[in-house]
Amino acid sequence: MTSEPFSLERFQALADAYGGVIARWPSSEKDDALRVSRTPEGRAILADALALDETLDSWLVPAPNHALAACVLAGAPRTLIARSVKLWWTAIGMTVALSGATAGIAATTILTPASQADSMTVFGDLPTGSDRNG
Amino acid sequence: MDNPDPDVALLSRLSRGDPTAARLLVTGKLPRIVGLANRMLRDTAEAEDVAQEAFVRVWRQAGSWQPGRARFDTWLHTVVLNLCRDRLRRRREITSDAVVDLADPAPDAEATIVAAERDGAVAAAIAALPERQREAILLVHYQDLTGAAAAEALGVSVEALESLLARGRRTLRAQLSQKGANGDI
Repeated sequence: MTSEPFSLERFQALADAYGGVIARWPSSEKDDALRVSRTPEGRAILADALALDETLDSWLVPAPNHALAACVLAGAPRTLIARSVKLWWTAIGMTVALSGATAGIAATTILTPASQADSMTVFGDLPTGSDRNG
Repeated sequence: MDNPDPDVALLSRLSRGDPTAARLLVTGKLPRIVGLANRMLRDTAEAEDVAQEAFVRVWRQAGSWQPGRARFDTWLHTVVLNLCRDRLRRRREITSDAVVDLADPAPDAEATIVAAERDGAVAAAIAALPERQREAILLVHYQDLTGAAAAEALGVSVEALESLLARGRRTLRAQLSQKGANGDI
């Protein structure tokens, strides 16, 4: 922020602005601030600022309830979630289809001797002459 | 921006349709949003309305969030501030026909007294601060935003933010120590 040496005045200004917790101060000035905080003057400034911080901390507000959280979550992007669900179902569908095709090919290969293939229908192996009446 | 935005990974998951990311975002951000809105508006029902409106905007933005421009948390605080300011402005329009001092408005005396009775001396003292000082203190002290993030949310320089904070805290110290001396707190 500044190229000037870090002074007690700057330490006081930071405490006046950000309070007595140095973790809240600008990161670029924390090292210098920690050094000053070990001096009696620094400690006095921090104690003074912390007293106000503690007073401010007494103001508590209610936390959000579960109903509000559920309501907010219900408004989450349907399209994104729907797309996620759609992709999920698509993946399942493709898996099932591929499994079915693989199983079918395997079953056909195992159960169907090549010599009988010509006499088979989807309903089973037809006896010789079954296509004739009577 | 010194450090990478910690929310980007979650937003990226959300844009890919990860429902867990939506839940994590609500868990992480809703208490902060409601806390800020509650302290701005001092009305739980209105604060919850603001939180819902803010999240409508979150859901709209999340899928197309561009990292690197602003931190998501800072942007979210700006959204909440604007929603609260709109409601406060409407309140003033309803409760008063007087011309509102937009430059540095403060709640009217009656509202301040009612607030003091309802929520305590600290809340009343903060409510009585000029708007920009109040917002600066809410963002830095209660929301734990860094000076840079709070300055960005308020649209001011860090130096201006520090001035707002210092003036606000000085006023609070004087008012609260006076009340303490009177036995009010």
